[in-house]
Amino acid sequence: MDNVINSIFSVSFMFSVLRLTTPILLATLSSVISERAGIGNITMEGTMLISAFVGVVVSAYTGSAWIGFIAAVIIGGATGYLMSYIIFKLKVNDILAGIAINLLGSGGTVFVLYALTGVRGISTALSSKIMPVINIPIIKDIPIIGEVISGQNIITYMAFIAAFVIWYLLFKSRLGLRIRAVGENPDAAKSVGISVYKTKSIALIIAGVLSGMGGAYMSMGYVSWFAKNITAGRGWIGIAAAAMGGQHPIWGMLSAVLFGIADSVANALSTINLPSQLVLMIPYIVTLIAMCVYAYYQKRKKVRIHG
Amino acid sequence: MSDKIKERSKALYTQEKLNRKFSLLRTSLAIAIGVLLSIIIILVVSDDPAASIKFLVIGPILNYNNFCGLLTMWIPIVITGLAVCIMFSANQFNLFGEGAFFFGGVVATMVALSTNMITGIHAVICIIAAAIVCGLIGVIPAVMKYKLGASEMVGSMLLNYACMNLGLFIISYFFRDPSAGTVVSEKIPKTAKIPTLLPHSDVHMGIIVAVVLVILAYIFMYHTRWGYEIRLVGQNEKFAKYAGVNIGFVLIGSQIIGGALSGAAGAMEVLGSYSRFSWTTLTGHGWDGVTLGILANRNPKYIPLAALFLAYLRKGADLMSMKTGMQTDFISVIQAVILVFLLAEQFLSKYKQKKTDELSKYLEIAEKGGATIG
Amino acid sequence: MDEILKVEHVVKIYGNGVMANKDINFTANKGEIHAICGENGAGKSTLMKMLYGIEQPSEGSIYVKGRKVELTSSAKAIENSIGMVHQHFMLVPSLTVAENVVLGVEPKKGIKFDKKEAIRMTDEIAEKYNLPVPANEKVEDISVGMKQRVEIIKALLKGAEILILDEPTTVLTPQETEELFTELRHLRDEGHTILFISHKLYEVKKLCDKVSIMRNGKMLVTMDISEVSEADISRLMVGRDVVEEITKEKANPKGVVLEAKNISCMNYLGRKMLDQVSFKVRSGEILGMAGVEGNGQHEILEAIAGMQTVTSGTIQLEQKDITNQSIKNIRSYGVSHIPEDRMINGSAKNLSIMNNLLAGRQNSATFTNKILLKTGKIRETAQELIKEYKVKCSSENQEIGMLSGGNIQKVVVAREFDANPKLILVDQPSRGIDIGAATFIRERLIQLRDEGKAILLNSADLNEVLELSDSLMVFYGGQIVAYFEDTSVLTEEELGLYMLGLKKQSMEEIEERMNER
Repeated sequence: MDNVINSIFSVSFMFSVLRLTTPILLATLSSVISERAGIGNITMEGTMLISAFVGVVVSAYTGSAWIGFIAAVIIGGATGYLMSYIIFKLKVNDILAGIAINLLGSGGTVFVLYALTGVRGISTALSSKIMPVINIPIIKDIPIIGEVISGQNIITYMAFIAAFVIWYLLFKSRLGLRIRAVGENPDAAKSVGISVYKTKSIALIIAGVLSGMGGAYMSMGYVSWFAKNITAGRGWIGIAAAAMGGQHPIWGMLSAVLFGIADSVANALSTINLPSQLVLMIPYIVTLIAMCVYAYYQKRKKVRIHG
Repeated sequence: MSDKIKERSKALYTQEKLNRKFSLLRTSLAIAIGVLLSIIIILVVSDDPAASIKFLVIGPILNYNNFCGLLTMWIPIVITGLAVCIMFSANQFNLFGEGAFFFGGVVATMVALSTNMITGIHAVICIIAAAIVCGLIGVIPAVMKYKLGASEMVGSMLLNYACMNLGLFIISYFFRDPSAGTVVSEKIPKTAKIPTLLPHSDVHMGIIVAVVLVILAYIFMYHTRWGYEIRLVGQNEKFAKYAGVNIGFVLIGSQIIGGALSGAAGAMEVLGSYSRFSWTTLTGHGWDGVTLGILANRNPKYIPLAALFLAYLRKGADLMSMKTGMQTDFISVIQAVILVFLLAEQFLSKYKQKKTDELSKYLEIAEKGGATIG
Repeated sequence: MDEILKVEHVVKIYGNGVMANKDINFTANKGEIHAICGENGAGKSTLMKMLYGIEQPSEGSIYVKGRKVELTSSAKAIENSIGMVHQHFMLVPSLTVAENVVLGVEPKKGIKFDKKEAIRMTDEIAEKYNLPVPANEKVEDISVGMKQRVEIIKALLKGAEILILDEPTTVLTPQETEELFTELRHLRDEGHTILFISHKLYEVKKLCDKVSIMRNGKMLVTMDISEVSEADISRLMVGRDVVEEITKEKANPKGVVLEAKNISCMNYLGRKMLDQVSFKVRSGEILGMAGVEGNGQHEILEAIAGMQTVTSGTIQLEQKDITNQSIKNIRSYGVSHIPEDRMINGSAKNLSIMNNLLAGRQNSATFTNKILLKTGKIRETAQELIKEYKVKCSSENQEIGMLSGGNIQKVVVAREFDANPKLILVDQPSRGIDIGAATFIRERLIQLRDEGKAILLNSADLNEVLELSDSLMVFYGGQIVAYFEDTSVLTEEELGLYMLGLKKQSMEEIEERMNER
């Protein structure tokens, strides 16, 4: 047990928190911007899978991690647009459309992988690239902090920066004002001549790009291959984190970090003799409990306000 | 005046017929698009498209063995489909079916390996245990939604992953067969196996259970007050409340049933088709249930047919992959595409609007001068 | 004066075939406050929606400043200097006042939303028209009256010269209403034209320069306000001629069925909706309730039906206490309820007529065994009711949502009447339905009364209340302010004074009159 405590207070633990928070954070931001635009978007899991896969394949064929990354992000945005087309043009219920896209992500990636490589479920046959690790000058020389913050994958930095960018976008830009307006009262937005469809589509595309980055991180940073169901529910955890963050990018980021910690604790525990499957349950159980606690306090708050 | 009423009711009748015709047309077209897309994928990807298509299209009915394989695949998804019908009818997007199916298999294995009973009873007890456990777990997202307002969908997805890991833990730490190379349970005792129904095949007695469940589920949903209340809540919760329905009872009850059915399906799958528990990941049967629930428009009556379609596609793809090396996962792509077209209100809507307009004009002539203000 | 808006031969037929506006002709001049009066369903809202580009006319044309315009969207209406303040505010609660005001024409600095400029723009308009608003506060934190002011500024910022206000005073307190009137007069003096939609006649008389009256989808007349009295407007609006007379015998009430004692309740915001309300309903009588909407009539019905929690007081049905019991229990004791909105509480549009007719009675032994529903009996009953209530439909299997409003209401009414109730709660029985169906339902109510049911009726249609009720209570501010034993001697004018709170009977007087019977 001492080992565990030691490892939890170690630098490498803090390092792994940031590492494990990254995909959850990107899914969280994706959910935040969708929710702010008033869309029940549950496609994070599927979009991340598609992007993770595309990133690996493109980087393997082009030999460039960056081209792979860009392809992953573009396909993420395209999936977001597909979602918007399905729900606004074909008029499919947003949740059911999300289920369809998630199916597409989980089955489609495995299938195309096989069609391309002839191997089932894992992409080890492809020599894919990974995104670079960044050592930040000056900071890297600071003890402890440097060891935690510096030396992360570039997408990790992008994710944390993205939280602030999304905050700025939502609360400081004209687009953000319109996104929040269509999300909260589409009739009001329409009555002053704002195109609800266009605004919501843009929000969904941004959400797709964010999920796409999360996917790319999974296959080109966290590990260096694509495997069936590689995201393992991180998209869903992201949705829960966004809800707990009150659909605010910064609070959402903190919730995502909380789940990143849960993930890291699980990792730390697996170094001792605890059964790995039980340890793997931790992030999901923690998320479930956190969801309940948050919802409980939200509900109490409402009752207090309304008597 | 009476002529006018007659004309009008005639027009209404045609409008109703029109709607029904279009939903049938849309379903058929969605399925046709799905099948067509499969063929295109095969043509592009397969080394031997002709053989692949042959196996996909007629493979399942080519011989006795294949046909039995088709039926074996049909059994579990019928039941998960029923589970989704009931939960979605209450307008609850609970996706726990996937996890419940897996965990139902785990519970059945546990009970089978840790108790001794006579043949027949043993299997029944295993299945009931699985249904009870999964029904109770299914309550978690239901209560989260009803009491706290947290998303039942996100909750149920997280539960799926949690249950998978819990199940794997139970199997590998308590029931693992150490002599086997991979993580599988010990052999399930003969007494707990579900006996086969058709000779020289995997088709087990579960098929009878599935058929009975379809009938029961249909009767439950459409011929009992509880089913009626579930549908009432799903269609208009405020109206249901006004009609004196206990909303919490309905929401939680429907999800207990959903979880229990999915769990029972998983138990039957393990006890009927496997000699030991050997799943290492979620199986996709819950998602198939979701597809079927939507395909059947939440009516248990249509589940067998929808399940036959999906099982046929699956079995065909399976055969294809065995004979020609094509991969089967593309079926979920097809599933996604069918779902989208099936649900797309806008799909064919222009054609439909044209027909409706024609009808309205006819109606207006029939009712000329009879328009009233609102 | 300059003519600024002209509506010529405008007809509106909705998709479901309802003709809401019939050949409307109407003009408004620059710099006037012009009232549009009419009862619910007279077609006012439809006309205004067409002026603001939300709906398009089926026939006819609209001219602004002499130029013909095609108002295909709200954006087009804004372009043509038309602004609208909706009854339900078109505001985004979590945004600030300034952000709401500039929405659609937001100032930018690069990609950044220029908040300072937005505040400046808001303040500029606020100052110019003397409409002070807290530009930096969130809309969810400001008062209703302030929200309305924000809506006006919003329209003015976009260059509105014609301002439509749809029932602006329904949500305001008297003081806020006063303020609004001052502001509107100021705007008029600045040269704006205001279309003021209302059915509160004393406000119209007080504020407006001209009044146009609509009835039954038609524009009847436009007059200078000085030419008419409130009574004249009311007579024109209501026009007895449209209502078919219903013959009814004098009531012969018997024992008390429902007794409400000192009922109070609050809405979810903690505002008191009912304040110490007491009354009795006897078997064989229709007790009517009149009042401007939102004064407690609807709430008392919901409280009795178990849909609204009672905070104090008791409700007794034949001496049995039913206060705050479950809806299921209350129904089983013999209470039927025709809800205010048939689509929200009264039906499920995707279920068949048969299934809609079963609602509320799914547990009764008539329709269910221990396990199975008696499908045959349910179908038979549905067929009988469809015949009895002359519901126009293809069969009992038809989805109810495909029927017309009047037929849906007939289904709701059939279900509630057929449950063999002791007490029937009736909320807006004929709102938005055709005259044929309305007359049918009214006649049924009289028939049920004669059969000895106790009926409690709320309707915004004064004619209906006066015609159907044997006795009448008037609600104002969540209290009963008047009680009339016999409605046949009561005039609409007199009733109006009580409804608007201008006249009030004393508590003792009411109590005495109620107990006299």
